Amino acid sequence: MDETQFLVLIKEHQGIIHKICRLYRDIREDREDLFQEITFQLWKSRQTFKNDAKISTWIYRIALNTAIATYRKRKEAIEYGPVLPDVVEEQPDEALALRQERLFNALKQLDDGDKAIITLYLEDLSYQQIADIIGISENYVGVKLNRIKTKIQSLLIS
Amino acid sequence: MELNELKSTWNTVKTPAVSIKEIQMMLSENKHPVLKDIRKQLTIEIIGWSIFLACYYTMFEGDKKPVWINILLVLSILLPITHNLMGYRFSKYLVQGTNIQESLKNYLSKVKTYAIISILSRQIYLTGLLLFFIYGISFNTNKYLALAMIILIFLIQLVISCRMWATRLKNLGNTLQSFG
Repeated sequence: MDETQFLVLIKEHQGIIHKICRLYRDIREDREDLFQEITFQLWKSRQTFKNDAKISTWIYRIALNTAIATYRKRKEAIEYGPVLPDVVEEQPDEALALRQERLFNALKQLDDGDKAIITLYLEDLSYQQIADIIGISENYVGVKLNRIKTKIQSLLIS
Repeated sequence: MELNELKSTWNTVKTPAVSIKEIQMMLSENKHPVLKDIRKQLTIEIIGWSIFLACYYTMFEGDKKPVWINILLVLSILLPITHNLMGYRFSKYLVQGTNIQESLKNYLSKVKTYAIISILSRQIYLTGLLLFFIYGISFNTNKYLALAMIILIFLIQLVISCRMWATRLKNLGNTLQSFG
């Protein structure tokens, strides 16, 4: 994969990376740093991409791996400003924005491993694909997802 | 929100758009936030210690001290610099496996080694400096008190450093454990 192909690839799939950054980091600066780190690690790992595999699967693996392995420098800070955070301000539908906020608030309370599994589930990957990316059995993916769903349900109710 | 709404809500999340030019800049080591910081620190350390090593022999009476203590000083300064160079390379390659669990296992094992070397090299560095500067001093009560204070400060930073690494290792270990 040459640089031009890689750049087009990241541009096309950047939505995945942004969602992972939003889930694993609380403040904008940290999310931007993580986005850059993931892009850098994808570039460094490009030789590990096999042409017979789905490109999105490879991106999920490297991106989630990087999000879990990298060290968080900053703690969550209260951001004062005249406008709401950037992730909300672009939403014209207030109810939808609120649902998204509730979803992310619940997901952020999960531990890093559970976040990775639920992200792959929400991205519509099969149990087999999730098992391959994480490195666990397909059955265990099912067990983990049931536990995570129960946890999210209670987080959404509370 | 019901669980079946999770996916539909997730799919509606809008994300920022980064241009090709911005992505291209992110591929450069010079623009990498962590590597840039390590490089800056390394440059400052190398310049600072080079000046120190060029001057210490005459300025701090290295010529009047035994050869072994001079060698110890030089080594104790070179050790953390070498360790930081290792850290630079370490930060460049985070992904080390064909799946996340395997990669994190390899990464955790390397972080453990790195943490041990980090703590040891810092202690050797501080001990080397301390030995060099206290060698040949005739001690009285005040000087002993000052020495005790310095050693106490060293011990506090050792505890802080150990705790910091322990927290990081624990977090990684917990994630690995959650994968079963």
